Amino acid sequence: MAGPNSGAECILAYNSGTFGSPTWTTLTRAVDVDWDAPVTWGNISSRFSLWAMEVKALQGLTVNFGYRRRAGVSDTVFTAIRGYAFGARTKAELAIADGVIATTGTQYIRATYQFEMSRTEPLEDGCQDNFSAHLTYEEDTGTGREPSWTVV
Amino acid sequence: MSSMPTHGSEARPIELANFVVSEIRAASLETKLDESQVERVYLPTAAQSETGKLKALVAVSGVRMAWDNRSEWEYQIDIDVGIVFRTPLNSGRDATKDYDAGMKLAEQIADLYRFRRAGVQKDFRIAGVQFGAGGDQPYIPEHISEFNQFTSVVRLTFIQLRGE
Repeated sequence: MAGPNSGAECILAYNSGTFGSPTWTTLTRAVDVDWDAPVTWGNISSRFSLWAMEVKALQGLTVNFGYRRRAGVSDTVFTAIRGYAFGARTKAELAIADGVIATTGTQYIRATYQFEMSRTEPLEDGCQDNFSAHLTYEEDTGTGREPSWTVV
Repeated sequence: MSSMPTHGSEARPIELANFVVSEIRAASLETKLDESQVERVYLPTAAQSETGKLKALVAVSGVRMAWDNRSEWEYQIDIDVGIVFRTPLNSGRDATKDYDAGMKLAEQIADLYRFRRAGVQKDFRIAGVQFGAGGDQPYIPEHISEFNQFTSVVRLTFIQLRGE
């Protein structure tokens, strides 16, 4: 359905296939998902003008999300993303989509990340595993990957 | 401790209320109760017509739902256990002893649920146990003055995640 939607209707997925032939596996138990693409700015001011001027230098990309793991229940999705984050340098792709990835009109960001994780166990609220994915370098047949914005 | 019910043919709040009834009946409380003293009701009557009988009336008092994660809703179900004891009109000072029995039962039921480790039950977990009549009041004083009745409510809040 087109129109403004909530986070509950968005899709966060990891690629369990290959870069050339992706298989997007949804993180169904994701909680809040945030992505940020901060930019560093360079100063290019000079005496020519009163105005301070900047130039876009580098752009970063990080994705933060929570995951609601169930104690005592086997969860292949959690096992995969925990494997990227805990004690490993595994690089994996994420797709952050505003709807079902196969649906026409859905837009998603695709990029390759390395991961870190933490966990919160509040006394009076649900436990949550928290992941932070940072953009990293990977190449395929000598070509470095860059993030892409896809409109299905 | 008995295990929590798996979903049967009743609505989940009703299954939960029935489970609370069965747990209270089976619990080893200092206050001995027979089955007729613990029952599930839809409309707890404020003024009990029956006098001289300590009762625990179990009712569903609230159902709330909110998104927990992208595939599951969190259901919060409030089950109220109303502890009532209506004394005969000529009880006089003996009413105090009867009301003490009501307070004791309310405390035992609250402790029955408070002192269990949350998360033991896979499908439901206890999220809150409130004792009394709201705020800091342990019983409803108006019921004593209007009905010669001790009334206290133990509110149990259960949480369950439900998805497709």
